[in-house]
Amino acid sequence: MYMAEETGFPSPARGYEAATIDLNALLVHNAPATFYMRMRGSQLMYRGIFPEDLLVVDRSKPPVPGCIVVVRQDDEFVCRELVRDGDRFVFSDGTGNLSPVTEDTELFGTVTGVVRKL
Amino acid sequence: MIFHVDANSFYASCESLFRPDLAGKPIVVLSNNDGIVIALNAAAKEAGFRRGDAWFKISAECAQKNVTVFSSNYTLYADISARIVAIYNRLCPEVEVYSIDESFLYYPDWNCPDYAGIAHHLRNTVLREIGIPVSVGIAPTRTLAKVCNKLAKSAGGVFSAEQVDMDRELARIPVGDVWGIGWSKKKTLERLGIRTALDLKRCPLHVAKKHLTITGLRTVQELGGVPANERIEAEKNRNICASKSFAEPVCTLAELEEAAAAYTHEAVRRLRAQNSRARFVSVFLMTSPWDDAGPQHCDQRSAALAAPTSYLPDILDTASALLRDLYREGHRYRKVMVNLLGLEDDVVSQPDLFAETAADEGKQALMRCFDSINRRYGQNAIRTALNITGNRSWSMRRRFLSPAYTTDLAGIPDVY
Repeated sequence: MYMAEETGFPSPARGYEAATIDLNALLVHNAPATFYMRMRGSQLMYRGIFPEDLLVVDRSKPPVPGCIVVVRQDDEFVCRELVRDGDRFVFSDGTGNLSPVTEDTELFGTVTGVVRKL
Repeated sequence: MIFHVDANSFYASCESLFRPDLAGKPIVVLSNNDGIVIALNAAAKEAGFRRGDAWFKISAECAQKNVTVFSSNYTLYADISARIVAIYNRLCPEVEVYSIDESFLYYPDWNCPDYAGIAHHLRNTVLREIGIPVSVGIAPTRTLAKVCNKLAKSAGGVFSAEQVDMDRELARIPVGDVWGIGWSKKKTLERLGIRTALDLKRCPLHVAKKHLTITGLRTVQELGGVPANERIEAEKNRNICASKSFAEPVCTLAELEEAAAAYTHEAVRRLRAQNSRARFVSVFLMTSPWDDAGPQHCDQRSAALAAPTSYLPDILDTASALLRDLYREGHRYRKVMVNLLGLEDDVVSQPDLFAETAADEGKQALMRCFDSINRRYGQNAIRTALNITGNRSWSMRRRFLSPAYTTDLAGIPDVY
């Protein structure tokens, strides 16, 4: 790597150059399986996800209890927290309402990040 | 061993990916300019629609049967296709992208491998990570792998030539369904009494060569399990790109278009020089990162051509449309780049059911003439009048276009 041509003393920063911080490296772990979605609901405010937030959704990440998932429910995508209730999995909306994971529940992906512009 | 992997009803699958309300419902996708049906899902097939149906004939029936109609959204299809190919590359050492929804995967001949198991893993991975169903045909040659892929569609998504009596399967396949056997070859073969793929496999090589030329001979060898179809030669460029940084920042669309047109000319000249055709065009536009005088903008778009082509006006139209899409007023642009991708030989190619052959020949003749004038009188002695072709593709009819769900922040799907 070349720096601008040096005529006087060598730059003390030589050898310490680094690329700029890339947010993709932080938020995207498997690019082909990563999709972005726009949160429109307010059910997950208790987890710090607000309406209009940009969700980073990774389809390759297996869902585990405590994580936020996007699932197809009836005719739309919904975002819910997956929790364990005894020996079964349920979706929680933070108000104590639990809806069961059924055979028809179709997982779209796991939310791995939230982006919000202030 | 060769895997032929094909995405099922690819365009329709892409359209339903971000439309949870359409699960299980009929979908059709229309060609450029909303002319004819080019893709449809299983539910639409059941409802009686077919590939090739003219839109003006079926529009009333679609409304009545609650069929959801889409214009071709090549931005979406190209992005989903690139994601799927990324997964193939992760799982296979050698991948040949054959078209936007078809690839050949070459696996080494390991000792006692479970190819079907690998194929199921591949299929499940693409389904889970991208959400698109694919089917896999496994065979020692490309032609047989394509046959197996067709059989896989009704066999749970994976079909391996090794696990069955292939001759029995070939006996049930009409010769016209074999890869590389077009309408005229089919007629010739039927006159010789060759009606099924098995008949063709058993056809003596000298007879095949006499009636079908060398490509037909290779097809016969491939059906017999002998790899003969040359892959697209590696020494040829797999993509061609032309770009330059401007001496002075360029702000107006007209100037950018002129520059992009010049690079498209250059790229197509190189494309034609190596006897290739392109399937995709991408355009890249950027301001200078060292320019403090205005806002920064750097982006790229790509689109599939209606059919693989080396015809300059078609490629130019697509590149100009992409550029107009990218352009933002009030930016000082420093660089534009035109990239041709998905290159293939001009001779051996997948015939397009809807290609207008006569018009195609006219285009070919025009381009040959164009090339020879420029060879004789110098590059750019003859070129396209940009302003004449300028607005044609822009006014393309796309009344049922879905959002660019995966490539445009304004188009990303909503969650509740």
